[in-house]
Amino acid sequence: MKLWRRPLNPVLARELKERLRTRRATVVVTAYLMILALILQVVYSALSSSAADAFNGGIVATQSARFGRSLFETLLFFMLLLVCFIVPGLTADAITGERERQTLVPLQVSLLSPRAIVSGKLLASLAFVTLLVLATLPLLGVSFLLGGVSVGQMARGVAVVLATGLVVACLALACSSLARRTQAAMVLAYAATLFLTLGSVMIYGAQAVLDDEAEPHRPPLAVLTLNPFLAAADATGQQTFDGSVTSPLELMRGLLDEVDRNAVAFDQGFVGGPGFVGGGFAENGEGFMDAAPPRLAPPPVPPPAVPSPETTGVSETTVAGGSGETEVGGAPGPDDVVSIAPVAPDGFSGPGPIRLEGQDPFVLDDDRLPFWMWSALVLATVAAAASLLAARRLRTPSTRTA
Amino acid sequence: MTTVGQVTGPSEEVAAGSPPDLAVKVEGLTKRYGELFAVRDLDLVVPRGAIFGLIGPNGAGKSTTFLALASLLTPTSGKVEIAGCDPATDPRGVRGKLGYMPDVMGVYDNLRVHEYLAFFAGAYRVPRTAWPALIDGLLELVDLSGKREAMVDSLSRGMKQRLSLARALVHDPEVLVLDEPASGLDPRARVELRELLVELRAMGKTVVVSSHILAELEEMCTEVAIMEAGRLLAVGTPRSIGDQLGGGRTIRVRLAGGEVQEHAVVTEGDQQALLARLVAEGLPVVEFTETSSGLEDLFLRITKGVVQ
Ligand SMILES: Nc1ncnc2c1ncn2[C@@H]1O[C@H](COP(=O)(O)OP(=O)(O)OP(=O)(O)O)[C@@H](O)[C@H]1O
Ligand SMILES: [Mg+2]
Repeated sequence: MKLWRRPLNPVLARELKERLRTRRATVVVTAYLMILALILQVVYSALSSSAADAFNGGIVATQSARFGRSLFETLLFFMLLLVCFIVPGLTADAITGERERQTLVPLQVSLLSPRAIVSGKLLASLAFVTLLVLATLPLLGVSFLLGGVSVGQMARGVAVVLATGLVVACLALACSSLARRTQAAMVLAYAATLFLTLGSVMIYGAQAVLDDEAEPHRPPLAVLTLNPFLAAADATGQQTFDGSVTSPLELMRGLLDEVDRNAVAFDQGFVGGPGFVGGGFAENGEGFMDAAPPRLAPPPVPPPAVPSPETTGVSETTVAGGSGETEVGGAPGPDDVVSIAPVAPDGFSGPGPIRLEGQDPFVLDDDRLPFWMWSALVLATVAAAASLLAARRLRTPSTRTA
Repeated sequence: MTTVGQVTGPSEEVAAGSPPDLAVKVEGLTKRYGELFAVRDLDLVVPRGAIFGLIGPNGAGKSTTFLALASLLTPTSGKVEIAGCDPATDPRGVRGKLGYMPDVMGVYDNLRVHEYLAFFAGAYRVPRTAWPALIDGLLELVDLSGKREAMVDSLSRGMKQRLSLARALVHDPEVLVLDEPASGLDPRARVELRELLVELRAMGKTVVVSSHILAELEEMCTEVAIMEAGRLLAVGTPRSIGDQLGGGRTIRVRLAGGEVQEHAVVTEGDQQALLARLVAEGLPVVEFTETSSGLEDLFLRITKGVVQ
């Protein structure tokens, strides 16, 4: 059947009708816009006063671009935050609500497939997020007028918000299909969202803190791909504008850079105590290149990140700009990783992560998949799994709440 | 177990050959919830064009049976067939042929009556062009035309019940499974429901209904089954069921002058004999009726009020 001939998903049509009739939608959109406008106001005045200080009243073009960019990124950050806050609340009752109102059985006994029910619910949530984003466009326009943001970046930012909304909606829907009551579904959905946003970063941090110094593990980078904020920061970063920006997303980019450096440093054997470097590397002497020796410890890479951006990136890149200090043996695949022969300067023997001078893998490696793409893949997988779970739960014909 | 073999033998021939003449077939249906048998080894056969009543007290397993018919419940054991489709292997086939009305009727908050029906017309893949005529026809059928624009949740209980029935008819199903359709209806609506079911039967549909009240179904059903505690107690035409169970009916005789007598009879022969005797005795009979409470007595007697 042709796509445009296909009748609208009945569940979607009904959801839209119902949602537009409740006051809830209006209230949520209004509250959302008011919060964002308030933030815009605060940021605007803060930034413009600092700009005024620096330039005695007149804002120079680059300054204006910087300003616009900062506004845009701050708005984007708070859009994401609000979406993460709103979507679980609006989606978690999707199935439990039907169950509680005893309207689920007629749906299940109809010719609608569980998948159609799930996608109808998802599309309804996505439509609401789209409405939110559209309502934000005038605010985004302000930052656009100031410059510093390209249309492409704007579109990318909007796409990230929509995608995040969809992922969160999928999770909330899965929670709704698992729970018996709406309250439980709400709690689960917010917990899942919190796990994506805060939990992922905390796991990363905890791992770094708890790591045994004698036997360091590769920093669990993969867990960070779950974080939509980091993905947003990466996806909207640095392409056309290189002025310094003050925004929450910029902070996250800093964090990502740091994380990336640590991972690369680890891969190159610079992390850990002196014994680490001495033990592993000294036995083989300097001649890593020809022998392709086993790595110190195969990195414990969690499944979703098997081709983790850093490993792939490093392994496929011959670091040309690295001032000759490192050479990379191109060995694709995460398992037989890379032999990099560092002519380790003295400073590298100290414990803890080390910044590599003259080599910024984040900027340098143009041919590796960027972080946000990994993140998109991982999150898409999570979302798909969640919605399949929801559909599956709808298929199982245990219908009674009593 | 040999009987099961005998029953399944011919049924497979039917499934393979000519279209099955059975609307519903239930074989050895059992549903356990832990230790509790909600339905135990139930066999039912409903021919096409029948109005089949399933009667039993609370917790007898009627709704459980109906859920199994509606492909919403996986039986612990046993087999169900709706117009030749097995819910276990072909739930979509069953759903296309079956209109199911659950015992509880939930409604959406912000939907009008006609939108509610349109939603289910969409859910049953009825082409959009057919919706207006379909919805008007259905509302006419269940006598809700005046409530077309009303919000669904503003309807009275009985109206919701009727809307639920209209919903079950949205895809013109061959078989209707109605779980206590008369509960919550006023006496007039009950009579109308009865007429409606007879009308549906005339349209060639098969109707399976449940009730707590034997008398309620007696007049319209071609066949009734009585179950209790998950087991079938009796099946047959409403007339024969009393005889089958050796139970009697009560005949109320009112004589001119106000004297009332009650006579217990078992068969229709007894009934004729009683009338002949009364006439022969020259009594001034002005009323000779079977009381429906007789059926209730029977029902109460054979169902022991076992609560599982
Ligand atoms: N999901 C369930 N879990 C556990 N027990 C159940 C479940 N559903 C039904 N039962 C039990 O199965 C038995 C039959 O229930 P069912 O709803 O089929 O009875 P019913 O004949 O429809 O009764 P009523 O006339 O009250 O509607 C009851 O004892 C009930 O408690
Ligand atoms: Mg019941």
